[in-house]
Amino acid sequence: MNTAATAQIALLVVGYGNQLRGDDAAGTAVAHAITAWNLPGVRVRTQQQLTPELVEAIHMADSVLFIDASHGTSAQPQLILLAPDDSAAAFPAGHISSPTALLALCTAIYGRAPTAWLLLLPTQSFELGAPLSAVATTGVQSALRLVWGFIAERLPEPQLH
Amino acid sequence: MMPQRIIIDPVSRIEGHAKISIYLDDAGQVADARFHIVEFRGFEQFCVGRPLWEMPGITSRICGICPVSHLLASAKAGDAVLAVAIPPTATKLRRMMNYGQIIQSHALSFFHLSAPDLLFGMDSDPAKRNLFGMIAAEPEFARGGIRLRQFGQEVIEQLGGRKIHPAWAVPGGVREPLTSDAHSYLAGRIPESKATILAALARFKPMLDTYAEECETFGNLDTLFMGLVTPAGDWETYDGRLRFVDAEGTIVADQIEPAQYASYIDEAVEPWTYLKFPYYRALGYPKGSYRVGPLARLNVCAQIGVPLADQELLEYRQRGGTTVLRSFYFHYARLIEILACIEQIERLLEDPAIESLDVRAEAGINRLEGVGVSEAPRGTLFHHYHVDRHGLLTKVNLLIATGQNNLAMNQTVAQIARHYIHGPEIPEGMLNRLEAGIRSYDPCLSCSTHAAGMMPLHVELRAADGSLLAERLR
Repeated sequence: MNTAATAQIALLVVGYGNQLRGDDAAGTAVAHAITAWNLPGVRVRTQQQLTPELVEAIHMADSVLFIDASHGTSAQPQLILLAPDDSAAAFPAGHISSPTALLALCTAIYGRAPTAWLLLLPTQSFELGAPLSAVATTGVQSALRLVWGFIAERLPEPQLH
Repeated sequence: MMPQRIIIDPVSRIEGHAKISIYLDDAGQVADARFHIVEFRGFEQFCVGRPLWEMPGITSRICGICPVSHLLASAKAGDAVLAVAIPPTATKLRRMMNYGQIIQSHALSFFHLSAPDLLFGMDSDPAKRNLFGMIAAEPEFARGGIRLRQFGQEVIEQLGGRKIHPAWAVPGGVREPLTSDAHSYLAGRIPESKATILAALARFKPMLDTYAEECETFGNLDTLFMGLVTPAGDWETYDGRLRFVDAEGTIVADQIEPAQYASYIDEAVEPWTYLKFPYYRALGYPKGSYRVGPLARLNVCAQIGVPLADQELLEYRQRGGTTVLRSFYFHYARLIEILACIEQIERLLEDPAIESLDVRAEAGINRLEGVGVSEAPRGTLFHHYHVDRHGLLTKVNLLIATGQNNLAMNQTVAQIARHYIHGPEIPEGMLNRLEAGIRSYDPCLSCSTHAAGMMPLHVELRAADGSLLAERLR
């Protein structure tokens, strides 16, 4: 379950995607696995879509890691450093937004945004009701190794609980 | 002069994708206007063959804004098929989730989508007339709106485990009870949420004078209104029965069992839009135009039933009349409903039975047909299922709130166009007023056509012979 953001935390992980649409669920699959690690200082959220009020959780984090399914052709997860984007195209008017628009919104409201990355996962199929494809399943496993290393670099000696 | 047509495509800051066409006559005056929905998704078709128990989870994916409305209507249709009376606490928890849904959806509509127009003016610089511009000019107001929406989302999340598409309500009840931690957390958020919405109401009321012209021309229509009411005729969002009132406030049909909706509502289709046109059957099409949603709910009810919201309702009726015909008042009604929902949640959290663990009734297929209804943020939502003996769906009909406002939205577009357009020019302020008129209904086209996507704005101006004279896109 997503938990309410009430205190500053070291890392916010946001895995998002539609769990009914095949590999679109890859981001939430990684997020669920990270939740099971139960790491102190790490808050994990799973989302169908990014919504504006997520800035309330974002501004309470020192760093943010967004995790999403990729439409690209890369066979490996890709980690991208993000910058806020307040262009009209990124305007977070409704329930569909982007990580960079949320960072811009966070900056506009709170005067700063945490350092943020986007982890893009390899995908193959987005069919309604389909399970993760072999490509996505392998990508999720690779992503979890990558995220563990990512967290280990940023948090003091992460321990599995 | 050759007759002309103006088209707005796509309409922006609403949920979905649409286009507005305005037809000018030979004299350059507006002859007609149409609000087109140009997407089709077909949820009703691909639900056929799915198990009844999957329907709340599937149909809640119709929309990312009002998933709870579909979740609840679907679960209630399932209750009807199982022929069960769900445990009282399950009813209360479902109600609470619906209140959270209305809060978050109304807050999005008012603070994120419409407030930039209202605070800066319909003719203000479009580059600043957005959420970022509002944050720069009114940071506390903007942040209050975001936190208010977050509260609504948290109600859903604390109950359902996640805020979008929770598969928590099921035929027979709900999967999980309210935990003590969630109870305490939500109770702690009440005072701030109440203060935020009261401040927003105080801020909004003077705008009725600022936008007096828009009040009179943004869908000031002589239509019927429909919504759920309690047996006493009070405001209702989850259970109850249907009531229709006319433009004078006269009750024309009352305490209608929701399962009988098809006896009172029929649907017309037009070749230029995917969105159907529901109408009140007794008056025929298009005379049977009726509106649903916050404006309608406040028109059909005697009172709301919680103190602060009832106080606001009194002032609302003093300002707008006992039966408010102006669609601009949708905004006002939305704010009052947010307050009502916060008070109702507060009341439910004080109920000693709210943490009861008895939240689900078990049963098999006992009927082959069921109708579920709830008040979605945008209006009354119906899910009507037919199943076979194994509980597999054989037929699905979804009657969506936005669709029920379709006739009125078209009439609104025509009314605004006739008032503000005189000739083939498309000034920015007029363009924005057309959009704002539609936005007052907060249409969710993802729901009503069951389509995916966002909605930016396209206007065309055409001659009566179909030739394109002018076009605006953004």
